[in-house]
Amino acid sequence: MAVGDTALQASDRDGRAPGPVQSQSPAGGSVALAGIGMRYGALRVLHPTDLSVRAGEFLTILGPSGSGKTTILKIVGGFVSPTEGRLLLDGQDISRMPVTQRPFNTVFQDYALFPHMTAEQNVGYGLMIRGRGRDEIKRRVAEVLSIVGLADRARSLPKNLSGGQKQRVALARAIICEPRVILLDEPLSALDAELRRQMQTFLKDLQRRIRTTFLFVTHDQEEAITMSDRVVVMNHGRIEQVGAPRELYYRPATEFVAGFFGDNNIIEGRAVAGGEVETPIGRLDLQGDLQPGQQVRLAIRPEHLLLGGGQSRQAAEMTFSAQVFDVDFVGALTHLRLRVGDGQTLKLKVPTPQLHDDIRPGCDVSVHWSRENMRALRPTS
Amino acid sequence: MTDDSLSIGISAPGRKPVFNGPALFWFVICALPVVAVCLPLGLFLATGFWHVDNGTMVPALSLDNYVNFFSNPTYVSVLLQTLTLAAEVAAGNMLIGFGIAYFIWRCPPVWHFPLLVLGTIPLLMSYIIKLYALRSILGNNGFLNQALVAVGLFDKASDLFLFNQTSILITMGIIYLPFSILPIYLTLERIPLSLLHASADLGGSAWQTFRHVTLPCSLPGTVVGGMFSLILALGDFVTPQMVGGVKGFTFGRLIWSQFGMAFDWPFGAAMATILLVLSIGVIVIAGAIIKRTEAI
Repeated sequence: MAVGDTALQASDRDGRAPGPVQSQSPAGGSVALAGIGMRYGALRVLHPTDLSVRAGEFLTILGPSGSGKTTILKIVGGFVSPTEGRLLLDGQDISRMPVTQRPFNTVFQDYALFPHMTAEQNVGYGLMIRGRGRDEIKRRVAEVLSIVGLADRARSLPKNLSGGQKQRVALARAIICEPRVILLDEPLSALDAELRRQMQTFLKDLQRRIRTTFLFVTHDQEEAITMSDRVVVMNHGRIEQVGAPRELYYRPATEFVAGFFGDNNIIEGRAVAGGEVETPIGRLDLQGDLQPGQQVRLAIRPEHLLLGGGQSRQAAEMTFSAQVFDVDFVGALTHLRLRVGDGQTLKLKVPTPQLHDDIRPGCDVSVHWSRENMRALRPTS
Repeated sequence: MTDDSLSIGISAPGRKPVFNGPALFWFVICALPVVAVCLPLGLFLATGFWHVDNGTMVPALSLDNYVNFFSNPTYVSVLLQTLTLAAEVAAGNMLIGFGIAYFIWRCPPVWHFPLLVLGTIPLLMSYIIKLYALRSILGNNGFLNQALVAVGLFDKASDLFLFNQTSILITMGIIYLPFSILPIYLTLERIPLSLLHASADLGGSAWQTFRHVTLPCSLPGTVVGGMFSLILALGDFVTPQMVGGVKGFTFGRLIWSQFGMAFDWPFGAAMATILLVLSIGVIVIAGAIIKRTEAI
């Protein structure tokens, strides 16, 4: 149950209790995975996992392919049955509830629009299945199509719609039945960069507007950071960390998470007595509960490194002298690479206007950072 | 070496023109169908406008053969009867073929190929062997009669199943079934699994998903499957000959009789032309239906 513990710890660190949370709004449902796991014969695709999705939140499951993220979505949607564990909706066990009865709707990766139906027929499918009257369907479809901005394409067949438009039809089809949870399986992966950014904003706004729980699966870390209330990072069928985007970005718990979100400076070291770590740049006082002798990898973001001596020489500040060996102007930011101590390279990102003109390769500088921005990473299992 | 290959097709100065490979290749490719298909077809279309005089064909163009055909109620009724028969074969094979193709498609994927081979293996057998096999099954002492008597449905062996239109219907249906199964299976196979998931996700029961998604999406292949059976049944003369007896007279046999017995080739050619036009008509109608339904 190591994975379950991870998830719980992550939730605790978040400052809120795990488990189903009572919904304030009637729209969004809370979903809890209790020890849910998946095995195909000898192949483990998902280790027993605990995870709670809060009512009305935008939760993203992030991970590389094969990490088990889509498996979780399929299990929640009811397309596959887990080998073990229970699935709860607002605290009630729905493990045995068939897919047709779950109050969830899915936006599929390939949109899965019915090719022989027009946009409005696709959107109205769920209501038609529920035997709603023609007038009601017509009214609701028009309403939802205008929410997604496609009122003028109502009578188009999917083959005559662009990728972004198909995406919106799929979204409209998923929200029209007012599901408690909307499941989105990498819905933006087929769109080009510009359209993808527009859809990210659109999805986020839509989610705020209809206040439904969104369970979003992606392998794109930027997408996860910009859209989500919380992100679950997965790797090899396990949860690595759960937390708000900022927390994952600035306080990664494991090497995998640190590596997944953009640039990080990694400093290898060995713990010595008194919570200090022996590294190539000298002894760092982390004040953590590390076992003496333990190998430690420390992570710090390039934007957390500051040039010049620490302004307030507090204990929390760490200051080192360094030598610049590369200056790379990329626009608003300038990327620097410094050599510190015994062969350690550190990357810095400095706002270009704050950079002195006399900083060029070969010159000596001092660099400092705040201890709280430095993280000791757990090795990835 | 590179120099040589570059100069192919270009007459280099001081050399004989190099053999022009691609042009000859395309000439053969185009000439072959002209000589082997278009020419005989044109000749046979033309023959339909000739007539026979004292056992020899006279190449004088007239519409007499067509006038004769359509003014003779016997001929026209044979044509209509055969059309009905072929349509019945097509309808039956669309239904049964869909059932079998659907069954194969719903089986676990590892079974698909073996089952499909099993369903189409009759195609590998000789036509004549299949006909004789069916004749012995359908005959008076055949397996079908014995089974029906044994079960108690029939008091005694019946001659309902051999040497009449019914026997032709059954036999052609069985022989042409693989031609219907294959295209239907192929369209079913092309339906993305996510469409079925989407239907279920939106609350659609198994029947609703079948009715609103599977069936419409597989309609193009089903129409093609029916069309194959229809066209094959329309022109077949061996099957009616073998299992039809005197009562099982069809248009194919009528055409054959003009060539093989009456030696009125121009009249036979005219009737074959009518059959050709009918077949093309079937293809055009089927194509129109497919165009309407196929949206992928």
